[in-house]
Amino acid sequence: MKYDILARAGFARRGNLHLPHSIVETPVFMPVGTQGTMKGVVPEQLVAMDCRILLCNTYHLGHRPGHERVKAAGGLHKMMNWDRSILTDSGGFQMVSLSKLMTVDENGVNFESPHTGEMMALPPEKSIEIQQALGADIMMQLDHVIHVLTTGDIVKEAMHRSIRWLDRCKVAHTRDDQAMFPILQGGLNLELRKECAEEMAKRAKVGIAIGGLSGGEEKDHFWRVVAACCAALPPHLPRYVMGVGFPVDLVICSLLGADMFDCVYPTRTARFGTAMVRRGGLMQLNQKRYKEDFLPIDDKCECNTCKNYSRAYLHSIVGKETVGCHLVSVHNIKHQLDLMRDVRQAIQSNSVELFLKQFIHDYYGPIQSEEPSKQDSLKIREVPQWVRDAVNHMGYKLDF
Amino acid sequence: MVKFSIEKKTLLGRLGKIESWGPVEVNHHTPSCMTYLRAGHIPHLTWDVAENQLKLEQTPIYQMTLPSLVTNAKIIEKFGKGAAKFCGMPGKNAIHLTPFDPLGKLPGGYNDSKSIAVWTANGKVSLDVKTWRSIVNSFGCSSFESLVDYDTPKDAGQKKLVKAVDRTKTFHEQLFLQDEKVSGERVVALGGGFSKYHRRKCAVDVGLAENTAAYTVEFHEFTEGKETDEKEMKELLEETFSPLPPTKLRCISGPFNPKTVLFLVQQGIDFFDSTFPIKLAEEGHAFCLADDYPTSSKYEVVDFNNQKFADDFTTPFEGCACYTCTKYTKGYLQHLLNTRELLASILLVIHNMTEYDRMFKLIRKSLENSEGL
Repeated sequence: MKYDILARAGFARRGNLHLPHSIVETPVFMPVGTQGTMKGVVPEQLVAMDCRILLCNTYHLGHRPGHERVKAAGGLHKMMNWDRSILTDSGGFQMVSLSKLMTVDENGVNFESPHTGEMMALPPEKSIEIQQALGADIMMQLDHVIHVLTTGDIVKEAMHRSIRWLDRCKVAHTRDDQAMFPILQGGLNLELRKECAEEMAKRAKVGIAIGGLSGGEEKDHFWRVVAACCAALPPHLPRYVMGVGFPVDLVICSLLGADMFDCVYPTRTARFGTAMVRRGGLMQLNQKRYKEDFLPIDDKCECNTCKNYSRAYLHSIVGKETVGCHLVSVHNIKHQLDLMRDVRQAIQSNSVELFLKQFIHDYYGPIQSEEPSKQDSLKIREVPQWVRDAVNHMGYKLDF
Repeated sequence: MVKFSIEKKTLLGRLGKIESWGPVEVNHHTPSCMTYLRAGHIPHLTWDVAENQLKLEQTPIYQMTLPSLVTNAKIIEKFGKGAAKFCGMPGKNAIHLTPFDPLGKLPGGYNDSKSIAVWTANGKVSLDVKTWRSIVNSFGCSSFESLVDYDTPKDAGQKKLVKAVDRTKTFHEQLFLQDEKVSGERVVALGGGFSKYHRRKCAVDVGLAENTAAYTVEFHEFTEGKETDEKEMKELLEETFSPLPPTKLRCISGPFNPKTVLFLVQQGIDFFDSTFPIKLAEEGHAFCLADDYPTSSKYEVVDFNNQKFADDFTTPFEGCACYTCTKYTKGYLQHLLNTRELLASILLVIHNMTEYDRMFKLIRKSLENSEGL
């Protein structure tokens, strides 16, 4: 397992991450198949989109079907018919967000089983044991997750505890065909983040994650933490910003020097009939305006949905037939993968500024339409201040 | 036209071949089934998945069902390229349009002298002849059904039966008025409920018309899950078909299990639909024919909701070459159902469709080996 940087542009890197099941081109977006399946999309469809890595959730798989069962099935790859790379999280984050009675002590995370109601302990060693049974290419350390808006000494304590738990995870980690990523903590405190980066980078082998973000913090804080972490980390480790998936966040973070991302957003939002588009951001297909709209979701998109289906058809079935959900999921995943492909190309061909301008111009512009409504054409491209600040920080200029 | 020829008659049923369905060459051997569509798709399969992961023996003839599309009829008309294209169907296919969803509900008491009721997710739509004709024309399918008053339950009185058969006759006449254009092959729907007399009357009333491409018997009271009597079914079908030319294709729609299919084939039915496999899949069930089918009419239904499969990581059905059985396991199917994941229905539809398709192949083979009449 190794990471090669092929090109750089500003802070951004275009790299190849060699994993046991595939070579992952970075910056990369990893779609999330929480329970060991990608929400109605079969693995062959993901391969056809050139998806090379996806994420599965340890918390969910640990409960159902259970890590021992996954092991008995021959591991996660075999069980779900996916022979490319997989990343599993540690389970810690979901415990914090899904378990009401969660507590943390030095031993580990204590949580209420969603099925039996019993209190159960998850020490770092157990998280690694479960993840080794699942057999993903990349495992995540168990970290002490705190809400991103928490302040005070607890932030520092959680950060230090995460370093101690990293050491315990490393001891428990015995399989050499799996990488394990540490997870940077430190909240919104840039000094703590820097200290954590130094300590964890020493211990990281293949890559490293930036955790504790995407939890409702202000965007202005979010990008500055990502920028600071990327600046503090050595170049040889790919940097994975956990839980990031909005297109503008992917682009900004990639250009700040981050390399890997994951988010349930593309498939979750598809279930509610929302398609992701380069021009205009989001398209809520259940809106009346699409009832007689015979354009595809995006006429520049090469996905199977856009090549064969109109907005009008999708409007007529979203929420009624599962096929509606599958079709929008396929489009949304392809949207994310294509966006990252374009980011990689921009880095490789040293045309980041041009790409960035076009991307922001389209993203904050109107949705493509044959009969643009007055409201749409009057829409001013309102680029949020944090995006402008981040772009300035990178040394690029927006001329609108 | 529907170019159909009977190749052999046996005591167990008849072998036939559909050379073309409207303008589409299919060379489809019968007994067989249409491929059931809802919202223009095999339920749960995008066309991409259907094309790449579902391998059927023959060129399919699709059964486009109206209820999931009826509220979009005006939009499809405006779209102007037909229902199949609107629904993203690839290529040029043989497609039959039926006003009913054989898996949908069909409560009694809603038909009247001008229209029949079809049921959508949002309630009732009254379909009159004029509307149906315009849908047939704008949907642009290769064939379509005439309207039948299906509201003839077992306890229907004489008056109700007479009314139903009369309405069916009137609908038929109105649909094919000389001055009105209606495009596509005509599959004439035959009703009459549980009454032998009215079955025969309906057949005579509407079945002898010129330009009839095929027949479909209204039989929704006899589908899977209903209490049925084989003797009664046999008699009703005999009454239906005896006044009609024997050389035309005979269809029946609705979920029928492998045992009932064998029985119906024996009664001279040529063409079914694939609702049985879809119905099972949507219940989390998969089925498998007995090794000696159709010598025995046995089949097994497996309920993957059952926790007993949770630790069983063997192939769902030994010997089945479908996508599901070659790539996944019983335990994984159990997991997908247990977690209510969408992939469960996809995989079960693929297996069940494959097995139902294989069933017809076995039936044809056994007819080939039977003595001709």
